[in-house]
Amino acid sequence: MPKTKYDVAIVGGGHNGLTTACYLAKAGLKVAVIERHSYVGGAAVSRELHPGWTYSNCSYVCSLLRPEIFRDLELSKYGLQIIPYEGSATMLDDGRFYAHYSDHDLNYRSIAQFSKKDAEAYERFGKDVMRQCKIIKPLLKMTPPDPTSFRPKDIMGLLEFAKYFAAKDELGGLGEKEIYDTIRFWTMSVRDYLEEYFESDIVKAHLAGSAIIGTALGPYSPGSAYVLLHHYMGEVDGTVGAWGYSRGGMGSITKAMAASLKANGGDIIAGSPVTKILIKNNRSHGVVLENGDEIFADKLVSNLDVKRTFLKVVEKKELPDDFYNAVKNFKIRGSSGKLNIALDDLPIWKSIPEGDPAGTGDLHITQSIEEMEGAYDDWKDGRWSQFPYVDMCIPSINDPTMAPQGKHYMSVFVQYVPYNLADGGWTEEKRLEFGKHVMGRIGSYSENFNDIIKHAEIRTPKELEKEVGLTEGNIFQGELTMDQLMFNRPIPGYAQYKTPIKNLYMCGSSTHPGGGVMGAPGANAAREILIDLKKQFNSHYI
Amino acid sequence: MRKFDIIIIGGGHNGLVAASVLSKKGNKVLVIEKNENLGGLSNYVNSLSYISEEVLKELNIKIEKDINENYVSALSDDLNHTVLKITGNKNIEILQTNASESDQANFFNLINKYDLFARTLRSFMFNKPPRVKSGSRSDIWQLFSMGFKVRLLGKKNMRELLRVIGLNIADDLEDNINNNTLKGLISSEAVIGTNLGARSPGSILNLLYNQATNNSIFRINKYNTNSFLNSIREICKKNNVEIETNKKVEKIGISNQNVNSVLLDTGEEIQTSLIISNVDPKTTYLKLVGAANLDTDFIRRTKNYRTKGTVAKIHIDFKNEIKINNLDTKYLSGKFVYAPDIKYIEHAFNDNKYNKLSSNPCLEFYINKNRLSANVYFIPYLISSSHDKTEILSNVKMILEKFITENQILSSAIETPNDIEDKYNISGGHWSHGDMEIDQLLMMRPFYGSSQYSTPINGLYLCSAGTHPGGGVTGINGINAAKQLLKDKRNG
Repeated sequence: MPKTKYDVAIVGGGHNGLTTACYLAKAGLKVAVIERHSYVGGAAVSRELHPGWTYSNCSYVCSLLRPEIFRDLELSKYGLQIIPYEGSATMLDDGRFYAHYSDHDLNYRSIAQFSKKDAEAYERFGKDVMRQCKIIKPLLKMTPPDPTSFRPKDIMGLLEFAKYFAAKDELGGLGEKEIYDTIRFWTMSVRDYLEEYFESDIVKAHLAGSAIIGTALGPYSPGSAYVLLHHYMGEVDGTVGAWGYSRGGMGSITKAMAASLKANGGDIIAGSPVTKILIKNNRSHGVVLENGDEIFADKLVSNLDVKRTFLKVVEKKELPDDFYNAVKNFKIRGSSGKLNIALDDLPIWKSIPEGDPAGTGDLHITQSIEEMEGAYDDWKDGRWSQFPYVDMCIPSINDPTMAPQGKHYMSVFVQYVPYNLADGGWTEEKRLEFGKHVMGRIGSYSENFNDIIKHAEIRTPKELEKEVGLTEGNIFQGELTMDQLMFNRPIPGYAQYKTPIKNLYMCGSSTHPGGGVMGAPGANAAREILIDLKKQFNSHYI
Repeated sequence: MRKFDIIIIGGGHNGLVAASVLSKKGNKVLVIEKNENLGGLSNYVNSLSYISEEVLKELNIKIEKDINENYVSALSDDLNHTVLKITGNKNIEILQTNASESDQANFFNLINKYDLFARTLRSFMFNKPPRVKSGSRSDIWQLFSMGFKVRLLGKKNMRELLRVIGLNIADDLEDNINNNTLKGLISSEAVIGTNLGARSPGSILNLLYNQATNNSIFRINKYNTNSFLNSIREICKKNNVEIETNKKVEKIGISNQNVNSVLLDTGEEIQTSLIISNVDPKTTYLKLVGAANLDTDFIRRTKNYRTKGTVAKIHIDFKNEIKINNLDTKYLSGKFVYAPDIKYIEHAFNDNKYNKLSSNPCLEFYINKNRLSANVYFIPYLISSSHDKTEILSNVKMILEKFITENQILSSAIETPNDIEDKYNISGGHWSHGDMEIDQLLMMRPFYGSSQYSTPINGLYLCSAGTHPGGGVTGINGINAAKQLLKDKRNG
């Protein structure tokens, strides 16, 4: 390989790495994304793991991707299309189901079947959560100011922050009650939060699911309500809180990003695992690949999670002890499993009627918030639960490109699944047993599910870690708890996409504002790098 | 009809403290107590771990110290107990332990870290909490000075404080210590009396909060409760405060959003334009004030205020003087903790979440010759069922049998959170009149619209543990509420 020197090299071609790369390439820099696999995408990929079927084999639905990024990188031009879905549902053991529709009146009627009071309360809930989404929106784009710093930039940032909260109400600031509501929302448990609105178990259970997906917190744990926000603050076609399928699977997002990058002159060096970041005099200047090749760049950006970056590819001797210990103590816990299933036919549910729009979105299996908490208790003790929270969807209903004609692809997300089992760790046998159990659970809700399974890929946090490189298979690159959010993310004092090593940056979900296929960490990191290079950050994303 | 300047509902310690402060200023004060004994829940604890200088100075009293040498023994199933000697807020010594040298060193590092943070928080405890957006200059100044005090910690410590404040105690312990007994001991202090497990975010904040008001990470016996109560009663007597016990307030009389009287269960109506309620916020608003006088949103917030108690008290009388196996008798005057490791605590907490009794509860107990008094947690407050007290007792016995042998139990008595609710008239029987979690602290305690000791009803104030700075026998709530009332009175 000819030795070219880049302005910036990005280690890891996940959606955030690609986002950073695109913005930098657009600003005229010579950029390369170095990716371990032969394909880019990280956890936002589409793969043919069973002939004829396309699996969104990690992340599976889309909503959080910031619309500004969508526009800036011209992703529609490069083939990205998001198909919103109309509804979702929770199925109970006793044959009842709760259907949730994006259509307001349909949804009102659906909740009213369980509780008239809850149907009324949902109006209040929807309004309050939307308000919280609005409040957090400008924060997502912000490089978190360091509250301990006296640098003008941080002081200005803090003032900006204070102004946002303290501005007079008529100038768009928050009212006193709203400030308290926000603090409560950010710190309460989702159970307590939902109980302030609803009485029906099934309605609460349906809504609570969003608060536990991917986190090592139970729905009774303080702080879990905030995670709810992480699943509500997205939008599809301007509809806040809506979710959709990316046509062709989640990989279409990263494929479009890669195309956008190439169109702007960026390079993608695939199939090249980075084993070491080269550092001299506390400055990084390049990377070493597994095959011994070296790639040099003025600035390096790591899209890997903070643990993988500083415990695997940066040598310990290069890091201050405090920082190294903080990285070691960073909480990044595997708590989710995933099944990708190829189906011969569309499953017929015992409860949801055929053709009901609720059947086209995400379908949950859970009886109550209490059952979810029980699954969390199992996780704490190092077991996968007999009654896990299951979130499944069949993208092929809306997107025929995912499976051969008449056949279907089903994505099944399972919470909670431990990274380490207390009874001696994962084995092939235990993995299969886990998958069998989950499929058994799903089968008990369907007339034909057991007979139409053609192929199933079963993944525990171990598999997620192995394939995507996420430490412990944590989908958010680090827990979304108060001690790891905003100016604490990933490490207090290093929340501004910089690291103790000069010219080495971070852009993954380990950084603010955290996980989900959002792109915000990548865009924020790009902005910081361009500021350091005294270059213009041209974007709708200001 | 009798008439008073100020009526205080509830003769708990905060009510009496408020009465002392107000009567000193020449107000004609009446205290009405439902029970025969004054002191409310402070009778529940035999001794106090701390009374702040600020409170002693405000009331101008002196309290005798009960015990100078304090021991905390963390009991271990293998009888290899850990014993600490505590002589001051920072003066902690490990007398015996099975922890390694490095664990011991890390243990002290942690304690010192928490102590530093607690001292910063402590400076917020003695004032009324600022409102974040009242526009008043004093609130803005107070917010600014709070920020400044945190900044004074310096960069490194400030970062650490902002990190751990939302963290759970288990994570911070596991990052630093290997020894299970030490981890269990600190976790126990962080979660007792709360609805938090060791792995629940916010458990460190609760620990720091307790530490800030108690001036020690370990709640220990130091001051005599009665001596404190007697001193306040003396002041009340001296200032002609009228105290009526065995009388229950049924209703607060309100017209045009102004307080005008209280109605007793005896049928008597007493006139007043100022009331301080030492009754918990939920009972005050829902029972004494009544929903008709409050708006729907406020009632909703009142109902959402979380007050589920989690601790039961057990007294057990043994036939002979109690000894603990494999422990020197000189430590018997101290506190004992049975919370052997984080997993054990977490399991006890798990059952509480589902309103179930854990067969393996945690214990904190004191021994006085033949009598053992224990706080048992987690024992949930039950709404729709009742406790099986024999089961609680047998669970506790199973644990005690590991450490106390050759001694016979003669009698025992249990107070569950439900009993505490009945006896002291506290919703949920909660030690602190409401969970001490971040959304129910400072300017959000008890909840928006009712912070800073005032209420939506003119002339009605709150002074119970349901106000800032929360639970514990501190008297701060009483002083702050009285001061707020006097300030409003001055300003008309």
